[in-house]
Amino acid sequence: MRYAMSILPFAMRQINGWALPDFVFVDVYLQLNEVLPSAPTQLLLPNADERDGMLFYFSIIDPQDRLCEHSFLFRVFFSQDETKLIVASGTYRLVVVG
Amino acid sequence: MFDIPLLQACVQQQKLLEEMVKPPMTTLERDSLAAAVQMFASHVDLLHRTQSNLHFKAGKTNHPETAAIGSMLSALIQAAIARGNLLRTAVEMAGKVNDVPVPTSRPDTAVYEINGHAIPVDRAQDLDKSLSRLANLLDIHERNWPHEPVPNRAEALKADNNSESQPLDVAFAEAAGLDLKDWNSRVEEHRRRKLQPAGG
Repeated sequence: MRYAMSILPFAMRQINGWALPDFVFVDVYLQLNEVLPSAPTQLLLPNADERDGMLFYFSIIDPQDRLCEHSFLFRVFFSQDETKLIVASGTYRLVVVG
Repeated sequence: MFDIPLLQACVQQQKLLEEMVKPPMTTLERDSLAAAVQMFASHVDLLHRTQSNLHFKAGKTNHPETAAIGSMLSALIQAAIARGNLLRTAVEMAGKVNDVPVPTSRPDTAVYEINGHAIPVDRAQDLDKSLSRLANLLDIHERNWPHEPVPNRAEALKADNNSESQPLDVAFAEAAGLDLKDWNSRVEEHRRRKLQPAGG
């Protein structure tokens, strides 16, 4: 079963606030909208407290500067009818090697 | 917000540094100043790791003290910048008032200069790197630290039931300032580019 995906305004505000490069912005979308719903049970990590949702981690190497790694961690909940995944919030870290 | 003990410590540190760079600087004083520069670089390393860990944890949990921890981290970075600037002033002063470029203990290290003055302190250039890292850390912290509590499960489900959530394609298209058709074209273009071999 493929889950539908939705996102809360809070998480979308956060993503906008990160001022991501275009490539990374679209890649984040693909990770959330295509990669995650294809295999959520394999990709979602349990949180320390399950009331805090599940965690989805991924990182993207910046094609413009391969020394830059953009890391993301999103908190995700199943909807009440368990047909949908809701992206509630996230955190972002830019690591520059060297 | 002023931290009185911290200010007192800074004044004390400034006095010690001024004393240390008075000419003629002894070998011991030069080594001490170089050690202070190295300790500062280690301190910045530690602060960097702490910040990274706290940012990741802040995104994972709904800790009630998140805002307070964020302010504390910001104050720690700002205090480190203040201390780094004091140290830089002292290192610069050491170059101005001690007019002889002192050979470094490592022959492969060029003598560092600030405003045309040779700085008789090993690895003084690390100070600029550390200060620039701190400015970067503060910028990342201010932009990314969650300033409002993240939605918990009940709030997320309530928002979803109230149709406040959006399908991802709609939300991302809006954020990109595109209609859905143009957004989907952009995503397709992105996919095509990703499939192209590097350099192609």
